Amino acid sequence: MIGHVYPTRRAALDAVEVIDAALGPTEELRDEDTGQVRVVPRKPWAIPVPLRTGAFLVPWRNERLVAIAGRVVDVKGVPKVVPSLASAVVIAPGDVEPAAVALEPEPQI
Amino acid sequence: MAGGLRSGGSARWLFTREESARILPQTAIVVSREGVVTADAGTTVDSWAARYGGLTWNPVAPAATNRPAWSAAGGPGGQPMITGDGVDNVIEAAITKGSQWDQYELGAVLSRVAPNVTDAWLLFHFAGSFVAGIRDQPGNLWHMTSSTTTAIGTSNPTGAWAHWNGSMMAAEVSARRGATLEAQNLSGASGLVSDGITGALFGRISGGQYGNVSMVAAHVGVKLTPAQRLYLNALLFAKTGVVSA
Repeated sequence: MIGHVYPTRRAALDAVEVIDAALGPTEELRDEDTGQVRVVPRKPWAIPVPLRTGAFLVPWRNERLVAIAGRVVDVKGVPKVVPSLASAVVIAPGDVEPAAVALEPEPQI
Repeated sequence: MAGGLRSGGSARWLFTREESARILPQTAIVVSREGVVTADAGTTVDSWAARYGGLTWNPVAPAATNRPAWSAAGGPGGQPMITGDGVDNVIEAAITKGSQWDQYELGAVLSRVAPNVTDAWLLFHFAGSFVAGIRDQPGNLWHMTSSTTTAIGTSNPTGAWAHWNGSMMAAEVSARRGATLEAQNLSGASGLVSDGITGALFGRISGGQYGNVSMVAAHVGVKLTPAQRLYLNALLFAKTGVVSA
C-alpha cells in the first residue's frame, strides 16, 4: 500500500481534505445498466488507515493523484499543498493496525 | 415450501427479479451484469446493488480509494467483473428486510487474483448488532486465509472461475467446492445476526484484511434449503455462465 503517513487521524483527515479540494467538489457516476451519468458530490478521497505505529496512512491509490500532486489549493481560505508521489511511502499489510482483529479473535480452523 | 419452488420436470425458471425474490426471500444476490454504478471514468465500482433475491443489499464504497476495479468485459464469457485489490478495496451496506438469522449462507462466483497472500480471500464481513448469546463478540467473518490456500489452490487455481459457497450456524460450518469456511464467534445456539446488519464484500469493514479476488456474482442470506440452493445455482449459471459444483 502506497501513501502518506501522518501522526494523527486529524492530520490525515486534513490531508484528505486537501486532496478532495484539488479533485473538485463533484464527480460523475455512471449507471452501467442504463448508461446514465449523474454528477454527484465527490466522496472523500480516503478513510485514513490506522497503522500499528499509531500513525495514519492516506492511501495514494491511483493515477488521478499524479495530476494534482504538488498543486496548491485553497482549503477554507488557506493555501495547502497536495503531497507528491515522491514523498509517499510503501506500507506492508502487516504494518496496518488490524483494529477489528483486536475485537475479534483470530478464527480457528 | 416458502417461495413456491416449482417441482418436477415441468419447472420453467425465468430467473427474473420477481421469481428470485419469491423463491429466495431472504437472500440477496449481486451479479456483475446488473446493478453496478461506476466511478473514476468507468474504472472503479462505487456501488453494486443486489438485483435478485428478496433481501435488500446495496453495497457501496465508503471512500474513493475503497472502490474495487471495474472491467466491463474481463469476466468469464466477456461479462463484467469486479476486482478487489487486496489492499483497501471494500464495498458495504446494511442488509435489510428480515435479516434475523441463526443460520446463514454466503457465496461468490469468483476467481482469485493473487494466491498465498495472508487473508487474500476475504469475501464477506459482518458487523453490527448481534443478538443474545454472542452479544459480547462483535464480529462474524467468513474468509479464507492463507492457511487454506492449499485446499483452494487444488481445486481453483488462480484465474479459474468457480462458485464458492457455504453455510454457517452456531453448531455447523459447512463448505462446498473444497473451500474452508472459518466462523468466528459462533458460540451459542441463539440467533446470530440482527436485522440491519452490515455486510461487506472484498474486505473487512473496519479495515485490516482484504481480498484480492475478482467476482461476477455473490450472495448472502439465510441458509438455503437444498431446493433453494438448486435454484440459486441455476440462477447464477444463467447470469454468469459459471457452473456451481
